[in-house]
Amino acid sequence: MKSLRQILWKVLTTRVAWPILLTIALLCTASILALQLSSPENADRQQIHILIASVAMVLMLLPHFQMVGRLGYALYGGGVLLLLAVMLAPAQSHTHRWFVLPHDVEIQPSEIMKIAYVVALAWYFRLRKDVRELHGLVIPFALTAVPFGLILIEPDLGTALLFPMVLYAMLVAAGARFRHLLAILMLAVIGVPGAFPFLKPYQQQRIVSIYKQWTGTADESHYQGEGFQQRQSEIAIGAGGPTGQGTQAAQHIRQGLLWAAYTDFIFAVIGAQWGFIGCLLVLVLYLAFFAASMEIAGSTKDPFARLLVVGLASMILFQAVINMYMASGMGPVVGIALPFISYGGSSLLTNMIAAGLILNVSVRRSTYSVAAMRYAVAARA
Amino acid sequence: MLNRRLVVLFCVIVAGFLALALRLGHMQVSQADEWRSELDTFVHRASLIETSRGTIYDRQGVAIARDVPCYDLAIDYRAIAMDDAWIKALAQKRLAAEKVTGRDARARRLAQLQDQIADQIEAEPAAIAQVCRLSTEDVLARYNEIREKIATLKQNLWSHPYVKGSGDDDEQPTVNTTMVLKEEVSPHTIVPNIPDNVSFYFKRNIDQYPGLTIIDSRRREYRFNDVACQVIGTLRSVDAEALKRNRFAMPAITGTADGSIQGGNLQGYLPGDLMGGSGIEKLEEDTLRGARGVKVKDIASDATSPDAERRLDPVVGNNVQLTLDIGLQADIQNNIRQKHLLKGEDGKDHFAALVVMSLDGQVLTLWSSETYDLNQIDALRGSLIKDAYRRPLTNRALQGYTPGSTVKPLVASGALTENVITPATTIVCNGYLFPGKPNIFRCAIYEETHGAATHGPLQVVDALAESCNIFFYTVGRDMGMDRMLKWFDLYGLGRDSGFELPEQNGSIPDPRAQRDADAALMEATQMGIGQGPVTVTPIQMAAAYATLLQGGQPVRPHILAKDTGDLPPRRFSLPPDVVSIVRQGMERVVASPEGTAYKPFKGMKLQVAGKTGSATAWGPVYDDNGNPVWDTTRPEKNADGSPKIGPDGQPIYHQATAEGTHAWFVGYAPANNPQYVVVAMMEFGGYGGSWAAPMAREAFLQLERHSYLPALDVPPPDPQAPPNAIGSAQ
Repeated sequence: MKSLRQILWKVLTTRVAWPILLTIALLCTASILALQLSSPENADRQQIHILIASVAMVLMLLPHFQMVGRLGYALYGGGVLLLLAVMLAPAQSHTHRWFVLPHDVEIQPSEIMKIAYVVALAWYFRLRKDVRELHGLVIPFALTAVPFGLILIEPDLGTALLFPMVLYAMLVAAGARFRHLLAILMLAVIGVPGAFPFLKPYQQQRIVSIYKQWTGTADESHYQGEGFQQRQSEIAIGAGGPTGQGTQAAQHIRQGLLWAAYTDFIFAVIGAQWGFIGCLLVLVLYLAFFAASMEIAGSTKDPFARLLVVGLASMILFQAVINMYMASGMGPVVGIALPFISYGGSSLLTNMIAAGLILNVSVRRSTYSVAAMRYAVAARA
Repeated sequence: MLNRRLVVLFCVIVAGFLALALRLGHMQVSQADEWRSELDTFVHRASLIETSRGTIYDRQGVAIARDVPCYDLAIDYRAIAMDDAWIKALAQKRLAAEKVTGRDARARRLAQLQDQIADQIEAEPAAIAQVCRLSTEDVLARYNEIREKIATLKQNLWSHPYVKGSGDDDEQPTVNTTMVLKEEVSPHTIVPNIPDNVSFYFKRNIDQYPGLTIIDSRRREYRFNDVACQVIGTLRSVDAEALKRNRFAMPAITGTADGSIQGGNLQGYLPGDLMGGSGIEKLEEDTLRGARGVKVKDIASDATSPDAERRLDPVVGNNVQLTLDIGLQADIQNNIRQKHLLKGEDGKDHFAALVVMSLDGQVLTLWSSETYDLNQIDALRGSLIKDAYRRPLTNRALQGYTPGSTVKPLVASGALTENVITPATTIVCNGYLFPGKPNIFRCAIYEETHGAATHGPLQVVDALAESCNIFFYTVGRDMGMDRMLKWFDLYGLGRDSGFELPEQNGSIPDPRAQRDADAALMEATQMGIGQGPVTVTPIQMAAAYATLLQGGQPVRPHILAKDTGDLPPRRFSLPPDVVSIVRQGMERVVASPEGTAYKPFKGMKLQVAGKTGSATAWGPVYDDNGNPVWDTTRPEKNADGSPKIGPDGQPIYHQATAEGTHAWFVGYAPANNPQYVVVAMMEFGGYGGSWAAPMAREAFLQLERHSYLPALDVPPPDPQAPPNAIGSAQ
């Protein structure tokens, strides 16, 4: 086991780790800047959150990723137990999403489950060859269905949907056949209307309003109720224009253009303050992060590590996409934070842990050597 | 490294990001201006500033109707809308006062409080109805009005001229802005002008009534209660037609070059607004109605900067001045009532009308005897409308009645001018017109009880003074239908007088109608004494006499001090000697002991002249309690001839009718220098000289008292008292 100092040195000297560190640092900086303008008191607290989460990220570098993988099923089991337990805990604003500990510390089991799920799934896939067969998909889908179902009845539709999306990303990386994946997707698309009657009334309403919004038949009540926040968010982003409105935008937001803009709708703050250029920069940062993660995954021999990186990186990216789609009016309103930018400790902690695991892989993996790759290419030819 | 599957995954993500980038580019680059104008509606919080209605003054500058401050019971719109966030905020406030500890306990208590507040809000309409003595339906109807008002305001904001897709008036915008109006978070009046004890009750128990507040407001005060009520008129809630015709429109609050607030229709109506419903309030609605102001708060600016708040001040409605003398009318009304001058020949009170007009048409008094308190109109309206017997909403001075002998001076002037008669023409009165038929076309004095008196031979002056029917039957017959109609028309009888308030035109036969020669001659004969197919309103009669006294000068009676109407196109010229002969006759009506109005004016120093009228007419019969009397010999019939059956299973009858006599007196004073015309009319009162002339006398006395005429019969005005003191009306 290497010492922490050695590991940190390794991170700093690893070429592929640099973009990860850099993009996370820049995204966190964007978070602080956006918060300083829209809700300064939260900016200060977010700095503390970043510090704590960074420590967690560094701690994630300590164990070998194989050790983490070995704990995968246990983590998964623990996560499921926590999800079950949270159903029994008292409801907070009519949902069962959080445990509330003394001093108002909140624990969201679904956040823990995000990591546990990816680790477990990657661990399951590491030696399997049968993902290319339909029957080999049964267990991965079953592993997904459990957290998906439990989180759906919390209810937290947005987070629940994240799991099948991550599953798909990992299945693609693990080598499942596209036609299998497409067929299952088609089944799901057909199956959703069947599931509709079983959804909670507010979820049904949400789906109906999304449908109406997309078909241009939304009525007034949509914009007053469900769609109000989203509409305000669109106004903030649109009014930002190409270069943004700077501090003026911040004032609008502070005056109530967008309530609680510092959490799920922080992308609107960025859009309003720094305009199209600011938004593009954020997009580029996320893409760079993902590209770097894909490079790490692509050059990692260990199948578990490779899938772990794919799972964690796509989990972060999917959250970003869902959130930004929501803020710009392209997608439904769901309770998913913008990774590294939204205010909030637990989401940041989860994402930093995920980033830590990616870095862990990047410093410990055994890579394909150039010679080996040439050999592989030649062998294929 | 070049794992094909990871490239696929990466490409999927890139595609997702590309779509997002395109969307953002569309929003932030191509559509930025549109989103900014959306933002403007958020940034610039517009709220309305209420205005007040103009004052109605009488000719002396006394305010008759004006807006005064009062307290209204109001409700926050969020309570009507059951706004969850607002209720939660209220609950949190209550929770803070309760010192509950523990997160769970607090959450539970908060939920309880929210339910409690929601229950209290739901119970409010009933509670308001109980405390304010209204029906719950009324309160709920008011809630609906408020909802409509908000909806209108919101639609308005969306249809700003600078927002795309507007400009077509017929097209109602279907999408509403997301902007929260100040009106959505502010109180709206439910019960206007609440008494102090109600206000005190709600202030003290405000905890039980979330959302209710007492606000400073304005109400219409009618300082003379019931005086001239039909003339002043009332306010009522704006109706759908007026809302459509003159709809409130929010002005453009942004986008103008200098930041000014422009356009819109701030004078327009919002649901729940009051508008003039009758009388001058309705007639001069556009003058009296003020325009709301707008206050625009720029929430993004520093509170101290000049941009932080811009306002367009409300425009107070313009005042209206009337030619009416409210003090005069109050005194005439009160004295007529106090002296029991409304009693007719049957000893019962009758309905009456009285007009005082200067010769140039300024109406000083327009009185109809059945009045109501304008300040109580909301409570009274239902019963007033239903009261078919008293018909208090009707202004009897503007209703048509058979004129009777009051037309005789007018007929005489026509006959003299047309040389049908001369001042010396003598006609012998035998008591009846047609030899051998003493029961029709009789003289009024030809009664068996009076020993079948007759006037004998007389000329036009005495015929006027003694109101000889035979003389004027003969004149009417000799004039013939065409000339009679011509002169009735010249005097404007049965024609629109041009008076501003809605008036019954009365009726005279159509000159162009084909008629049987004998029948026409009969009608012309009857019209000679003001009977037959003629009805005239008291105000038309006043105008006709003013025309006569001024030798044919047309007169348009008016009540607005700014008289802008055209004169009736009926200018004609009476030879001065004709006028003087007729005036001589009218002077003798009062001055000669033989005159029909000698007794009522006996002893009066003021020289009054005029003409009495006792017009035979048919009218519906009511019993002493004002209930209709049904004529059981005349059942109402359905179209197939079967008797109509009422909801109570009893057959429906026509109302019984009876013949009666309208008492008229049209006078002027001073007799030698006419200045004011007074028309008094009592429905079915009896003889004009006995029942209408005393009312006219009272009017002349009050004209003296109010310094319009020399104070010959009343003590001279107290120099200490303000000019034309309001008298007994407070």
